[in-house]
Amino acid sequence: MRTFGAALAGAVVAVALVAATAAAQTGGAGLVSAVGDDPEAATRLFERANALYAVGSFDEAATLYEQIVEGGFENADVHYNLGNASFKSGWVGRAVLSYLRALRLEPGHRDAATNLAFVRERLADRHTTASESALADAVERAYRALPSTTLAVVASAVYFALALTLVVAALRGGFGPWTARAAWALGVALALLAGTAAVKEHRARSLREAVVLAREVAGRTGPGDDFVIEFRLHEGTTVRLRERRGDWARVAVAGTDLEGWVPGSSIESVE
Amino acid sequence: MPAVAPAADIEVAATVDRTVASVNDRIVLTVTVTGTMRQVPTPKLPDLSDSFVVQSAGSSTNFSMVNGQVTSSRSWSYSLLPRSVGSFTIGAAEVEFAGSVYRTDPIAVEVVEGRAPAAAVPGERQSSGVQSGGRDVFITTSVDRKRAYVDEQITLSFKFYRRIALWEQPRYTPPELSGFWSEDLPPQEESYESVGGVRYQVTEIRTALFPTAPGRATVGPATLVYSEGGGGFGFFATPGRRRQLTTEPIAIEVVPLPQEGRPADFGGAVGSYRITASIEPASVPAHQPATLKVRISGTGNVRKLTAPRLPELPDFKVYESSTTSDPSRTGGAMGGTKIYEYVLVPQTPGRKTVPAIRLPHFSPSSGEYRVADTGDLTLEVTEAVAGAEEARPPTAGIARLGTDIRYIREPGGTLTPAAEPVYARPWFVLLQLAPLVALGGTWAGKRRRDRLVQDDRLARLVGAKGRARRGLRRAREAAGNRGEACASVARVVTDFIGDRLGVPARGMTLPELAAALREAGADDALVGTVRGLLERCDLGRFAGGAAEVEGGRLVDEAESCLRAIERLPVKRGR
Repeated sequence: MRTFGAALAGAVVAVALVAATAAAQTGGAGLVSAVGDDPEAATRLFERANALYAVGSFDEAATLYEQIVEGGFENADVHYNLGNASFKSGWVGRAVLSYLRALRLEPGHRDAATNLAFVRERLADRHTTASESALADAVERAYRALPSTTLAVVASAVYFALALTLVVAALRGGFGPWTARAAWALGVALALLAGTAAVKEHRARSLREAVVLAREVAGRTGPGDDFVIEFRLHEGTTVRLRERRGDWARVAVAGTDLEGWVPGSSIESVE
Repeated sequence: MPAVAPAADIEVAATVDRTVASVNDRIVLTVTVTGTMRQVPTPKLPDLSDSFVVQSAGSSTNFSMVNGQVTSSRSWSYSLLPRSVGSFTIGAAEVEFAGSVYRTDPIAVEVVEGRAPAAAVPGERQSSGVQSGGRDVFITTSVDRKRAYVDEQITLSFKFYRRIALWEQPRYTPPELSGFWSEDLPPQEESYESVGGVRYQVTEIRTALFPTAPGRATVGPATLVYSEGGGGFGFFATPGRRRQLTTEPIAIEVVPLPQEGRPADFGGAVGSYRITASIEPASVPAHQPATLKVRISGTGNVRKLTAPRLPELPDFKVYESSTTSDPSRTGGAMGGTKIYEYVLVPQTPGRKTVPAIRLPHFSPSSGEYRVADTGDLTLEVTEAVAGAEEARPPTAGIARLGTDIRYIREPGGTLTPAAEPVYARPWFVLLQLAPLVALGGTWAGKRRRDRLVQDDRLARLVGAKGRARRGLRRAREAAGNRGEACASVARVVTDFIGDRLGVPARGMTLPELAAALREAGADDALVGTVRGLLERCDLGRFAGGAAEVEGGRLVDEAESCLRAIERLPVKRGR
């Protein structure tokens, strides 16, 4: 009975974590306002912007794509095309930002990933996401390869299977050798999935990415112009947004120990 | 300045961190013994007690492996506090090894009043004290020239000086080199340098830079991050303080190549080159291929060389075949060889001449244009072989000619907003409650079954009402058979009392049953009703034709009795 109760409690905790992750990641799905209410209007703007892009009017195309985005219509292709138009117009910061937003909506967007890599190769600041160990890099790659939807569905399936196993064990009056093994295996799998979900949720909350939009910005030791300049960032560099305080933002550069304050208007959050 | 006593397999050096100090400054004297020996002998200091207060400041050991040979180096540090103002000489330190005594050279130091001037550190380019990281460790960048022609090599040298052991590998961020084509010049070089009388271990990284456009180009700041202090291994490791050093940017004036004297066929080659060519085989039939190999070698950015312009060759069909480059970095100068191959297909027989192939190039050292050429080449072309096909142009892999971002997406149809992920949908979240409900239900059912198994009284109590209801239904159905109906009613009432009160009612007499009811809290009226009911049942069962005992009424009375008994408090327990 005690084992049964512990297993039940574990399953409850695990499903709560998965559910919490799911709830935390629904933020981007509020999609309605002016254009967002009217897919037809958004489509007309999109097609007009595409036509402008095709004839080389990249600035005007970018303006129309931005109207769709600012209207609240979230679509990975719109962000991707906005990234292209921004790049062609010379706004590499906006391009990087748009590609990252496209990938946030659709992690498997190959064109966005390819163009993001292309643009980053041409940035003034060398882009790095590498951590200090190969193991951490491998974990990072595996983690990124597991989309949130897949994680949630697999975790749910494992959770149902574990519950079924526990019900069978309860009806039979205890765990047999196979039900015990199955319960252990499913329990461990669920714990791993719930742990991954918790990490994902933690990262989503704590590792907010932002992109430098200014041509060059100084990273200072404090939120003010009087503080010492520690480093300089250039347009298109992706940083981790730690906090905002007034008109200033504290950012960290991935893969380095550089962390400092930049004017809040010089960066824009990917979220 | 260091004082070094060299030997075949041992080297002893003494250095100080400053040669001019105030009376309040401490001079750090470091005696370093380096060699391939297993055990490093301890040096013996001269007697300095007249001039200084001497304190040991510990020792450190380094090992390095070069070409498979392990070299160990141990440094002893001493803190010397001057006793007075004046000029002093730190005498030779002695090391005895393998029967020989090795001595360092004496070091002269001057002790002055007040504040001593800071020791000069040639080449140190830290921008401020904040970023210098202290003088135990510092970095510099330098270039061999600050004025260069477009595409002329500039050698950038990054040097990392340290005189303390670092527990972590420092992290080096090379300078931003926009405006330059850059090539690394490996390998990293390790050496020792004396700076201001202090001996430093130096790591040098060199890079060849080729300015790409005239104007002002800047070598950006290089950065080095290292940890100071800390140490230990594994669990006992302690982290050091993270420090960052940054160098000043270096401005380069890039001069355009002169217009004067520029050959018309100048293709942008800058450096010192020579060009040779050959045709193989020396004789071919008409319409069969021969290979023209043009070889350019010398110093300069060979990767950037463009193919030399071939002279007019009306007797040949000419196809480009391949290009290979083999850069070299001899003596820190970029150079190497680049080979262009062409397929020549002669169209007519006879002795054919390939005129000299020219390579105009600009020589930065002389500041003028020069032209190298291959000289004329000849090819004997025999009559065409009957039936032989004309040689075709060589095939090659598909080359990438340009890169750009991928084109926009135009999915067609109505644009759809990003779908809400499945895990964010309410039905999915609610679905996750189903296993909890199933588990909870199963758990509750199991608990109930377990309790019923363990608690007999509870088990009887739980089913009592249902059994009584079914028994009375049967009694009502048997109302025509008075005896059977009476028996059923008596059994149902007795069993119900037994189940509710937890007593063996069937084996009890009427007075015992009445006593049990009273003990359970029944009043006299209920006890009397029950007794009356059971007595009439007995009458009906055993007295046969008693007219006052009617089956249907008995059942109604029994139902009334059972409701009253049901209201009595229940006793729990085994």
